[in-house]
Amino acid sequence: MPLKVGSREKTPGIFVISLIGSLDTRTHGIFDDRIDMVLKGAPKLIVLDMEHLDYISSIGISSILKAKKALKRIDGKLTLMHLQPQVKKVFEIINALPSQRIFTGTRELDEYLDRMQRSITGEEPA
Amino acid sequence: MLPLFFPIFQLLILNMLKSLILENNISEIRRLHRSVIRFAEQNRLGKELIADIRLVMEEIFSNIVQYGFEDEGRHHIAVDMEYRGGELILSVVDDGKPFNPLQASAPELDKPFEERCPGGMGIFMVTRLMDQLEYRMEGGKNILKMKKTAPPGAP
Repeated sequence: MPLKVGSREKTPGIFVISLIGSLDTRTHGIFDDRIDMVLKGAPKLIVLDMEHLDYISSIGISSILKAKKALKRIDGKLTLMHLQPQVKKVFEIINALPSQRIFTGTRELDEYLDRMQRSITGEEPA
Repeated sequence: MLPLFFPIFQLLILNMLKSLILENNISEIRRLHRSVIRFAEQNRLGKELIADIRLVMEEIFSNIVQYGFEDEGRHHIAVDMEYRGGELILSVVDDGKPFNPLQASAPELDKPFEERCPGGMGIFMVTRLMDQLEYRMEGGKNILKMKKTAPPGAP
């Protein structure tokens, strides 16, 4: 299956990139191009929404790793959300999950962003 | 009776086996994926197993295409997929540079993900997804055979 990539700026500096289909040898270039485009906006955080990503191979993992490193160079972060079982299995095989923050869903992401925002503004939690 | 059932018997045998010859071109992955899906559907393999086979074949094939040949020439990569007696047998034969995946370096699993170098993950995944790998070099060809126990009805 091909790859469709969507991206939106959720809040200033926070981008959600949605992946639909397969991130593999044939499609990783589409993902790489979108990451390059989003990086131009100097994001603080990129969240990869993988709810509709049903397959990933090692080259897809390499592309995500490359994106993580590129973000780190500009003090940004990359996290994953909605990992499907097969994709999660691949990350587990290469022991890539323990060092990752994985959001189970949008609600958890929103709570995290709220905490981030409060830590910047010094607001007390509600 | 036998002549009547013989074609059906042949069809059953063919469904258990799938062979194809691919060229050393990354675009052939599409044909490889389609063949995996067809083979899996014909043998009623589970969704998780199909994904595993697809991943294993993609990793081995793309490794051969990217690193196996130093010339610009056309080469053939022979792939066989067989499902028999609850066992999955995948074979890949190529005439590229000698490469034994059993001797490939493992990725840096103890390092945090973002500190790793990208290489080595594909072959490592293959060794984890398949139960058994056998490699030999014969007649100038790399011959890789991979097996996995997959009883009927496995996910």
